[in-house]
Amino acid sequence: MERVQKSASDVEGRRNLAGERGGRFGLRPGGGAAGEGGYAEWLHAMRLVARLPAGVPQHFRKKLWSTLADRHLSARGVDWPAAERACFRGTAQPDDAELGAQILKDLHRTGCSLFCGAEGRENQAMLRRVLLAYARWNKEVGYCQGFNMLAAIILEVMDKSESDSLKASRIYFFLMKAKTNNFYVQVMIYLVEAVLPEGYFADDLRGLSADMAAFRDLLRLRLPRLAHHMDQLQRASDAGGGVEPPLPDVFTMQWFLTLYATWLPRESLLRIWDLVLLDGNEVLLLTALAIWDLLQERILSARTADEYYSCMGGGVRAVWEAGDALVARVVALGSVPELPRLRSLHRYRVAPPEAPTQPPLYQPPLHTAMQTMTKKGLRLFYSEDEGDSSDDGNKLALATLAPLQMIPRRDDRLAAGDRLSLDIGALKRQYARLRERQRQAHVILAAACARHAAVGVSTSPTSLTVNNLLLGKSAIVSSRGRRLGPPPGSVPPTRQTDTKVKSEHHNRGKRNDTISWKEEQNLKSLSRRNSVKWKDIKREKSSREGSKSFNRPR
Amino acid sequence: MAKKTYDLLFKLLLIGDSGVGKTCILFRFSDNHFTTTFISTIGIDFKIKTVELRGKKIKLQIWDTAGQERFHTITTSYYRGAMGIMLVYDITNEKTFDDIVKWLRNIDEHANEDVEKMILGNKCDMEEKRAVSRERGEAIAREHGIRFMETSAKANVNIERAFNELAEAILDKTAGGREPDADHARIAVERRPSRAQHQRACCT
Repeated sequence: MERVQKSASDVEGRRNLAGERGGRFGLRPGGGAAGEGGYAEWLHAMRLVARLPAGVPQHFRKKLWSTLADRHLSARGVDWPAAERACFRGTAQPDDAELGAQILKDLHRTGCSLFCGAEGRENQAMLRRVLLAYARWNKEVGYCQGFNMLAAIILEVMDKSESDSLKASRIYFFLMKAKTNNFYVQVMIYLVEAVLPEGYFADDLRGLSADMAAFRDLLRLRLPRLAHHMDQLQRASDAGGGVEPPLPDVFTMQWFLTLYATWLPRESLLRIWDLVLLDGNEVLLLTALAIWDLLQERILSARTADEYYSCMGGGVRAVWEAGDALVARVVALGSVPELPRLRSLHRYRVAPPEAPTQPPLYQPPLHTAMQTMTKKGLRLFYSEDEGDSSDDGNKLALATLAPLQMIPRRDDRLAAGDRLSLDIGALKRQYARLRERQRQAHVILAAACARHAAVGVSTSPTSLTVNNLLLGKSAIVSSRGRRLGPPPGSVPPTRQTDTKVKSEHHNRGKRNDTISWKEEQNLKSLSRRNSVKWKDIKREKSSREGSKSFNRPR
Repeated sequence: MAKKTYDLLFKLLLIGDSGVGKTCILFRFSDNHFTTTFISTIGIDFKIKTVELRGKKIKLQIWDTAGQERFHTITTSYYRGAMGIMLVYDITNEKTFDDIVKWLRNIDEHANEDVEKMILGNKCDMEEKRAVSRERGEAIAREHGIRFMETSAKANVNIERAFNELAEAILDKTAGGREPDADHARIAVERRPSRAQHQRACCT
């Protein structure tokens, strides 16, 4: 306890060194003056400490993590003693068998020496209890490979936080067993549910796919030379077949799932974890940025995708050796203000098409407005009263995406696979419908773009909208060579600054927010007359209906 | 431009249920090393090894996947580029054998049509715990017209043979396998000409 108090005063000293105004500081947030203000002050102080060159003292880490976890649970109003009983029930639960089997397979595969050999037996048992408890706590997530590593690191922190003499005593062991289990599970809960984005570990890891895509965009913004090089290598290796997945993915996937557990030396790793737990998941992407930045020169010298993969072996060593220097880079990078925007774009897109009867399993929390639009699909453009909750950029994105998103890839291999009906007749009907919608969207977009031109706004698409499922694919072209998809330039993306968006805002007052079909019909402007007419399309369609039914190139 | 240290590049993929020993097979092949304390594969990983076949240096880029079901969607994007796929089950675990059918369907859905496949029954050193007979393994392989082998990463049985056979089968398919002209082969394999032509034909 003395040591802990000493560390507390140590921390306080550091905090004063950091130039913060003096104030009470203790192990527990708020000290005497408990409440929200006290906690906020404590959190702020801890964030500063985590950013100092030495980071959070090792023996203080456990307290920090468990306080954060505690706080999360009490804020959620969880009755922990009851939850604890449910999680740690001695008797087997119906779902346990399958969960337990996977957990059992992974207990010795944590890559952590604490869980190997005879000595590791006890630790493995503990790990198993905790992983099972978490799986019972959150049945939707259950157990995901990689949790074993996360839990192993939490155990290690716990282990290091206690003095050896204390550990040696038997009474301590029995006393601590329950406490330890609690600590574990609570930190796991906090990490998975409060810190990491939703869908990282459950439901086909959709949240993770979205984050990987968002990160590729971020890379293009922050390290454009590197990102461009990687994109080029991918394309060169691709040879038009869509065979080469994005080059950063194999690594970012591991990093985001294990929180860098296998890539950083322990001390640096725990410092990154401190930052993640205190500041949230954007630290994960910042760390990835820092790593790519570190490896930039090495990767730029690779001339093929294959050379890139070969050179990453040396990259692992370079990152490992960078250690604290890497943490300093992460701290220096600060924050990612563009992240929420990038994420919402990709979260929205990565989701495979849902069967109409099923409610969406994954709900992006912030963009309910966009979501309802998705559900309504193109109907959005036919009604006047549709919400004006999003800007025109989003509408353009929706117009291009709503139909495109549902279109099966050329070879009919959808990620959703089994869930899709394989009835060819139904597919054909669906196809015809989609083609029709696509055509409608094209008309609407053409009209909208023409209108933009009429009011003096340039027509080039502005937002960073990109359907990452369509990246690298050629545009959909009809049999007569006419482009059916979104307006030229919106896929693949053109990276531009946000100035366009601003100029759009200035022009907002001049026109309606909603692109409405009815409005388009009533508008007798020159641009309207010059654009492709809905009626024309209808007529054209009906005249062709008899002759061909299904002519999409395959 | 520096000289290439290999003549051909083959991309292989290892799939199968969790815990059947995919990573162990890969480590035995690439590092000739076996340990049970590997880290479970998270998402996807790869190893690179260069072998020599028929006087050609062949670089193998071998992709290893996580077996847990929820990773399937995320790992399928790596199927398409694979020229050879090793489908692994555990001879001591019947379920992993039953799932072979599911994995084959996955290959059909996501991999290249002309991908070379091979089924491996791993852990054949654990004869006393065997749950799937060799005959059943052979039967399912025959049924699908796929090569089959029983292996043991632990006892180093058939591991190198399996990779060599798969690589040879791919080599046979490439232009380089039939023609002695190595320069031509280099381009041919990396570009997969039949596929590219097929696609171009589709689009017009």
